[in-house]
Order: sequence, then structure tokens, then C-alpha cells
Amino acid sequence: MTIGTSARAAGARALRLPRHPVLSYTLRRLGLTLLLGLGITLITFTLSALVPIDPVVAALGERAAGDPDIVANYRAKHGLDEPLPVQYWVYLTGLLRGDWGMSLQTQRPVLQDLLSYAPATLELVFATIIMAVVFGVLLGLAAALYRNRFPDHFARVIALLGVSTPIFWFGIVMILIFFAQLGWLPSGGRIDPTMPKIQGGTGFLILDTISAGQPAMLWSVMKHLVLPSIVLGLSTLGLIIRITRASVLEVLGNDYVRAGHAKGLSSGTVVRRYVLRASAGSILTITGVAFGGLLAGTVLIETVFTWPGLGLYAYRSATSADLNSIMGVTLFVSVSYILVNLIVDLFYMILDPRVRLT
Amino acid sequence: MSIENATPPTTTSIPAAAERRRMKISATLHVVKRILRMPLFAVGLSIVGVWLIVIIFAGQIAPFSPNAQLGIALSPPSWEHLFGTDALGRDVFSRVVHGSRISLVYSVILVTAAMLIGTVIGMISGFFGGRLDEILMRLVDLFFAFPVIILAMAVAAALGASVQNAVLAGIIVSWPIYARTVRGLVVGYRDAEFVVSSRLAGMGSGRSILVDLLPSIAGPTLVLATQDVGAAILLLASLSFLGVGAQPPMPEWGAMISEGVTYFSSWWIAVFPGLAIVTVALAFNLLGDGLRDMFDPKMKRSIQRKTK
Repeated sequence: MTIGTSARAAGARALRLPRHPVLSYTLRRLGLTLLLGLGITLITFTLSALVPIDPVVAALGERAAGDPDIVANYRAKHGLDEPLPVQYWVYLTGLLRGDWGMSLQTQRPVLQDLLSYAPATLELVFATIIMAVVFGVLLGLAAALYRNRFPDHFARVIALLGVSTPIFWFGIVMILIFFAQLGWLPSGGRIDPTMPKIQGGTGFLILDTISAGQPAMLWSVMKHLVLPSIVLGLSTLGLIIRITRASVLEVLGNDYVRAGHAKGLSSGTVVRRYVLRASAGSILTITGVAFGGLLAGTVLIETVFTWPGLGLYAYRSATSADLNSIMGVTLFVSVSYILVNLIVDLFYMILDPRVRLT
Repeated sequence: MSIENATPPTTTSIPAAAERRRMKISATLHVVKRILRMPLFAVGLSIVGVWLIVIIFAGQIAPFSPNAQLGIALSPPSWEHLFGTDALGRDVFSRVVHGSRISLVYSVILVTAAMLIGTVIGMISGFFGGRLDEILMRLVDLFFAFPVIILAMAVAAALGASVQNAVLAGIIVSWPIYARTVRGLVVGYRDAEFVVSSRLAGMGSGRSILVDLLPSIAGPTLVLATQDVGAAILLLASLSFLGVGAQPPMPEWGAMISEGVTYFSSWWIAVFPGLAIVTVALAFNLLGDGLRDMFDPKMKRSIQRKTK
């Protein structure tokens, strides 16, 4: 008996997959992300269940809700008479099958709405991230290299304003200046409305106008992107400046940086090859974290700039009590957020092998 | 202060109490000196002071009632109407002044409630550990998976649009940060000698939490809360701007900005309430930074170590 169990244990040990650090880290992170995703659906489900509005009346309208047959049918179809865990199961399997409910305002399936609005938001967010990272790293680097001099003070002011300014107000002020006063930039939208629409594109107007060979339209798209991405990027810019400054200051104190200087490398080379490379990890991580804030910020910015993306969709749903759409946006945005953080973490693991061992 | 008063003077003799009073006075002097050495903190403190006066004397400072329609719509700033009038002919200055009562008071309520809930949960989690700790902290992780404004908007929209529900939504999205911070602090102190020794002397867990742990974690938690007031003001204003917070005709700053969106030629409607938000949020951020440096050099150092 004892021999049998120990032999079986040895067999199991031999059968177990070899411990591959990259694989096991990736699997662990994937599992965590999956659990978080489930948790998110649990919260959106709870919120929908908490709503004081009767879901039947909300979905069918007052008149149909007066007819007991229709109501009974609806309740049976959506499992509203079942206990809550069963309702959650119906909800969850529905989500997985792509049934995210109908939107009250557009009268289309929510998932279809989300997919058609997502490119506009992603284009705005990517433009913002690129700008915020480029300027944030440059300003943060300048602040660290010229510590307690003008660039440092300037960076500190931006970082402070970034956490103290309501971005929707900042957007309005920018429109007042650059549109109403100076007339340099448009006040909203993605492209000059008089221009023809490109049919069957990707929804990313920069790509679409380039592939259609329309430089005038591309120019218009770029001009429409300037104000929203600057405004959306303000708080992220402050964050990236602060992180870059802190991590560069830390790296600068290391012996290998001094060694680089000592062996005669120019300051530029040392900064590029030693300092920025060592800081890249923390900048990457904070950019991943900032992504969530940016997605959330689009709700405000798209409302100010009438940018036809997920944020404007969320705003319109919220103001018309269109719950399926709001929960859809919440789910969509939160899941993209945890996915981006998963990707960032995996990248970080490649950049910094020490992570795999923990 | 209340924490110090809550400490039962069971073992202290009278000379020790006098000694403590002397130490308290010298500590206060010390703090005042340090404030004077930190100009940004002093600036933050003065701005908050000015707004406190505005809140208390709003009725005397504002020349008009916030919702009085004075018959002259969209008039630019003048001596009579310092910040101009809005589309309904209401005095923007009076509305900004009265709005401080809404924005500031509700933000402080939001932060206080979030701090209390988060502290209780964090303490339970950190002190008792085990399975409960695991469950509570995964719940906290879950809340961090949502972008703040999105979740707050979903909650506010689900509950129905009103200031109270916006505050409730704010509390729901804000408590996790306190729970996580407090838990970390409690875990750090749980095995400290002064805690263990009083447990060995027979102190129950409840008293151990109140007498030994609470005073140690109160400082960093209050610093976090101070900084959070700025964020709470922005969050509430954002929700009102999106139409799921304060409803018209309430003179809430975020709602006032959204009323100004459509009037590009009447810049004063949106600009002044926004400036009010910026000054308050800035002041609380300066206060929070200053407090952190002043009372908590340890936390600052530990954060620096963590980023290494």
C-alpha cells in the first residue's frame, strides 16, 4: 500500500509539466485575468439587478408592460422569475454568446453598437498615449537632468494641474481659445462634416484616409484629433512626467551609469542606452495603468468634443436611462482595461526577467 | 485629537499627563514652524481657508439668490455681475459662491464615508488575515479593475440621477483604496512589539485594534483622505457634468459648466465654475502633499523604496 502511493506520487511528479517560468507566469496571469473578468460581470449584473426601474417596463415600454401576457412572456424568456444565481447564469451565457441586450436609444444590439463605436475611441486613446508618452518622457527626463531648475518646476506644475483640473472644463476652455477666439482648430467631431464618407473602412479614420489616398481628408482628421488628445492626455502626461523623473533620478545614481560616463561615452549615449532603457519598465507599467483612466476620460472628452465613440455613447445612454448600453460600455471598457494590463505585464516580464521568478 | 482622547488613561499617573501636555504644546509649535517653511502647503491652507469662509458666509457674500432670474441673460462680467449672467439671467458669481456649499460639502462627506468603510474593511482584513483577508482583498482588486468614472457613472445611472446617488457612487468607487492602504499598514504593525506585548498582557482583539493600531494608521490614512478630497470634487463635478449627478437648477459647479458648453460666445458661464474647481482641487492636493511630507516621512521613504 505504502509502496503503491509513493510510486504513484513519483509517477505524477515525472508526468507533471516541466516548470517553465515564462509559461507558468503567463498562465497564472491569464487565470487571474479570467477571474477578474468574471468578477466584472458579477458587478454589472448586480448593478442591473439593483436598478429601481422595472426591467420589463424599461425594455417594453409602458403600453406593452400593461399587457400581462407580454410581460409573462418577457419574464420567462429572460429568466426574470428565476432565483438570482440562475439569472446570473442566463446573463453570463448570454454575454458569451454575444447577446448583450438591446439598446433603447439606437434600437440595435448593444454589442454591435459597441463594436461600431470602439474604433473612434481607440484612435483617440492611441493618439493621446503617443503624445503623452513622447512629451511625458521628454519632460520627465529634462526635469530629472535639470533638477530643481526651470524644467523641473515646469514639470511639477503640469503634474499638479493634471490632478487638479477637471478635463471636461479644460476641453471647453481650449475650444473657447482655439476655436471660438482664434479659429485655428475645429470644435468637435472627427472630420470635416462636408467631406464625403469613406465606405467600408476600418473605422480608424487615419488608416482609412491613408488607404483611400486622400491627403486633404487625412489633414482634416489630424486637425480634429489635436485638441481632444491634448486635453485627454493632460493627467496622463503629469503621471508619466512624475514616473519618468523619479525612475531616471534613481537610475542616475547607479554605478554602471557612472562607469558609462567614465569610459568616455557622451551624455546623450548614456541617457539613451543606460538610463532610458532602465526606466522603460516603470514607464510601460504606468502607461498600462493610465490606459484605464484614458478610456474613462473619453466619456467626458467625447461629450465635450462630440466625438462619436464609446464615451459619447455612454453619456447618451446614461442620460436616457438606457441600462443595457451603460452596462455594456462598463463591461467592454473594464475588460479591455484588464486585457491591456495583462499585455503590459507580459511585456514587462520580457523586459525584466526577474519578474518571472516571483 | 479624538484618537488621543479615546486612549484610556488607565496606566498614566498625573505627572505623566502633565508631561504629555507639555509635549503636545511643543509639538504644535514645531508643526507651525514647519508649515511656515513650506510655502506651497501654506498656499493650499489659505485657499481652503478662503473657501471655508465662502461656505459659511455664502448668503452674505453672494449679491443675489443663486436661482433668481434677473431678466438680463448672457450679460458679460461687469461690476454688477462680477462673473456675468447665464442663459436664464442668473448671476454666475452668486451661483459659484453657493455652489461651494454643494461641491465641497458633498466631497468631504464622500471622502469621509469612503475612508471609514475602507478603514474598517482594511483593518478586519489585515488583523484577522486568512480566508477572510483573501476574499476581501480580491474584492478590492475587482474594484480596481474598473476605470473610476465609468463605474461611478454606471452606479449613478442605475440608482437614478441625483447628487445623493452621485455621492453614493463616489463612495462605492473610492473605499477600496483605503481598504488596501489600511490593510497594508495593519499587517505591518500587527506583529510590532507594542501590539504583541499588549495582546500578551490580555488585551482583546477589539481593544488592540482601537488602542494600538488605530493611532498608528490614522496619520497615513488621513493624508490619503486629504489628497482624495481633490479627486472627489473632480469626480462629483464630472458626474454632474455628465447629467447623472446634481440636477438643475442646483448651482453645482460641474452642472454649471455643462450649462455653459453650448454658449461659446459667453465664455464666463463655464470658465468661472471651472476655476473654482481648479482652486479647490489644487489646494487639497497641495495640502495632502504637505501633510505627507510633514507627518509621514516614513511613508515617503517606503514608497521610494517600493519603486526601486
